[in-house]
Amino acid sequence: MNRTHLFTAALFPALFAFVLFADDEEMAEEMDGGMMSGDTMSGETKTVGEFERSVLPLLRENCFECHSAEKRKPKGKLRLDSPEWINRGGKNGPVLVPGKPQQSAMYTRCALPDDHDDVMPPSGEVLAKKDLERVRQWIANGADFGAWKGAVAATAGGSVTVDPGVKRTTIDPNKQRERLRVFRELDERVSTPSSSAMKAAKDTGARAVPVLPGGNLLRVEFVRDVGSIDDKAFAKISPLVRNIAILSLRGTAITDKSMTLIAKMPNLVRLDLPRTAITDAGLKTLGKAKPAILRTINLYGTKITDAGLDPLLALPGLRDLYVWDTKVTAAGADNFARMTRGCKVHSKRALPKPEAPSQNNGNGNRRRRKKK
Amino acid sequence: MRLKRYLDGFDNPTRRSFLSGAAKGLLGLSTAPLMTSIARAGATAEIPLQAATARNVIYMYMAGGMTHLDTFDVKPGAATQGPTKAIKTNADGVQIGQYFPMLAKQMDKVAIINSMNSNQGAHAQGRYYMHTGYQMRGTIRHPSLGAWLEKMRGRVNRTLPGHVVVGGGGQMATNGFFDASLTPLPIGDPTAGLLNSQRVEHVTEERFEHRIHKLEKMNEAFRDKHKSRSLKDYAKVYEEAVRLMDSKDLVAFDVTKESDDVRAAYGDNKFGQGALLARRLVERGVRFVEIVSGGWDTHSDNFERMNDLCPPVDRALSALLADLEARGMLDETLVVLTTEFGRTPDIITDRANGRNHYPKAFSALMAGGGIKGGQKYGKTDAEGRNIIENPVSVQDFNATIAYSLGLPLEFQVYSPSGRPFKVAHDGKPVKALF
Repeated sequence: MNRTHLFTAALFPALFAFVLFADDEEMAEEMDGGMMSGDTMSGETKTVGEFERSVLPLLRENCFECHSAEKRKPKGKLRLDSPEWINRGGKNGPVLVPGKPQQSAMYTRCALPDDHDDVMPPSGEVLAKKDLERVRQWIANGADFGAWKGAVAATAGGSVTVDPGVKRTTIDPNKQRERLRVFRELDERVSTPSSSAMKAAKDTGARAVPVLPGGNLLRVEFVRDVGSIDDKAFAKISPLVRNIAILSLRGTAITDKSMTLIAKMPNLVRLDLPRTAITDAGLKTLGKAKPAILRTINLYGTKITDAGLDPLLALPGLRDLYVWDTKVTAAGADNFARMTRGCKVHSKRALPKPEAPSQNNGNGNRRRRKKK
Repeated sequence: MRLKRYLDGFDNPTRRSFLSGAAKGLLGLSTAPLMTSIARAGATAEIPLQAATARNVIYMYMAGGMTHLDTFDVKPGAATQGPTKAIKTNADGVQIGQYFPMLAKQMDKVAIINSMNSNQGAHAQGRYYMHTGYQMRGTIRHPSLGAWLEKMRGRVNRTLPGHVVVGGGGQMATNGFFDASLTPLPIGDPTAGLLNSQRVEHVTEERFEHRIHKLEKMNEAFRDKHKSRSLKDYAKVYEEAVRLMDSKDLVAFDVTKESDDVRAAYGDNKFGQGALLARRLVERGVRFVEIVSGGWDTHSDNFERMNDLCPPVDRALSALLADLEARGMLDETLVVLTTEFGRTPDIITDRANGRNHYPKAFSALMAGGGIKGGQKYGKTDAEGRNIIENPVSVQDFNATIAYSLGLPLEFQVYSPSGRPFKVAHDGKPVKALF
């Protein structure tokens, strides 16, 4: 053997060893990356936080201008402002393959020569070599986003994504829709109306629907042919007396006589009697019965007077009284409100004052003045 | 029916769509028996209704994109405010634009949402999205809120339509893929009443019934041979018309029955009289009435145009709130004012100070129907550009309306093609408003 042969012979093992070692290193890297990215439970924090420290600032500075919620139509249909968006990829497919930087477009596009047509970012400075290396390392280590949530992905309905930093106030569910609570409590004390009772109601022309879904409290109103509903017709509703929580007799032909039946309704919460022939006498009948739960009485357009309000002082639960277009005076209304300490009396209709013939034809155009 | 006069009462888009519909209907029409009252085939029994605080909706739509900075999201002192001044209202801590002085006296009844947002910046798409909660597609037509309400809760007064639109054109209220009987009734001019809803004088009741009977007989063979949904729909249109003609509540459509003072208080213009008509209809059991105000697309001359656009709305809304309140109806009637998007905080000086489209943030109003008045919900930043608190998407907005009406938000209704849809898509109601 001459010296050349010896040299070559020595080289082979060296090369071989080099190759072997190189492989090991890569493998070690990949294994390392695999363990790291899958390992969230251990205290190992080498890569957690690495994203937010070294990669996120780069994204913000170089990428978000075109690839985030800031842009109405993100370029290439690609957003990079949250893990979900990054993983969704863009028009040309996925941009990130954890562990494989050479297969991740979000790295490879940035690593192109700066005079290349497809280099990212397309304008301004390309990424500095050390920044690029950070991105490559991060991807090679498994592309762990750590605790970063970024912008929340849009919902299927296409609502605008709003910065998660936006403040949202919470509400106390117990303070909501207090009006319905009354019905909920009441409904438990009432039994299901019988089908014959419901039929009787229907025969009178009444419309009876549950106040709460599936509940036993009813809302009864007369909608069709109201002018024909008189005391006799209304009396047919009596089998439902315990179930009626809301009753509307607006525009019907009932008189004070029907108040006797109405006064017998123990679970009545709202009573509408506008434009009926009810008078102070009818209110007296109601007041005598002292319905405990009645909260709202609507008497607009009736002939009641201040005197008719006195018996209503006995109603402990009265909250709203509507007496516009009646003979109740302003003083009478104020007096009643003061004496009940808590009942609102609605006696006025505060329409805006009519003005001189309008200059406006209501379509956003001034009426053109006729030329003389 | 005197067709031409009837048609003249409509705005152009409505007339076109009516013509196309009517043309189909007048040829080979099959009339299901008109003389007997048809029991409403409703699937409403299966729909899991929820507790409601509102029964009715009066929906005021500002078509074109109402500016938010000049109306209900004023930013006194900001560069983006322009010449608009803010005024105090009768609600603590609430200021609105100077163009709504009458409404300022009623703001204790109203909740302002300043954090509306949409991703639709074009008129047709924006309008569609606001009305239906879904994006405009070529493949299907979605129903608007009024149709959903009627579908899920039926009608209160069966002789009147469940759903009426005053002054609206395309991309507004529609029955979508629902039954034709849920089509809203369009009214072009609210002061004209319901045209051609009376029998022509020389046709007595007897003759009318005779004619209908003949028509039925003529179509019997056709109807039996071709059983299709479209035919049933056309028949329903006629059914509805006849029922309406016979209704004793037709007088609801006649605003001339109101005193001159009241009519003047609402405003002597289409929008004002439309609001008055809405109140009359709701009183008689029509649950959903939409009134459209046009011209809000102020790309140029924004501030001058505010002087023209706002007063009719200011007056109509103020009158409506006062009127409903006095009648004890405000508790159960949800009054809504909304638009498709807002307008840019930056003022476009080379267009005589206009503002362009801005769906990122805009404002809407809600009152009555269980809403807690006198509050502002949601905030934008100091210049009115970005939402910084409590964003409300268009779907959330519709979900809030549905929530007040007790309509189930998760319940899916299937289109004829078998796709599921919900009343407010994926929206979550803003419960803090109640």
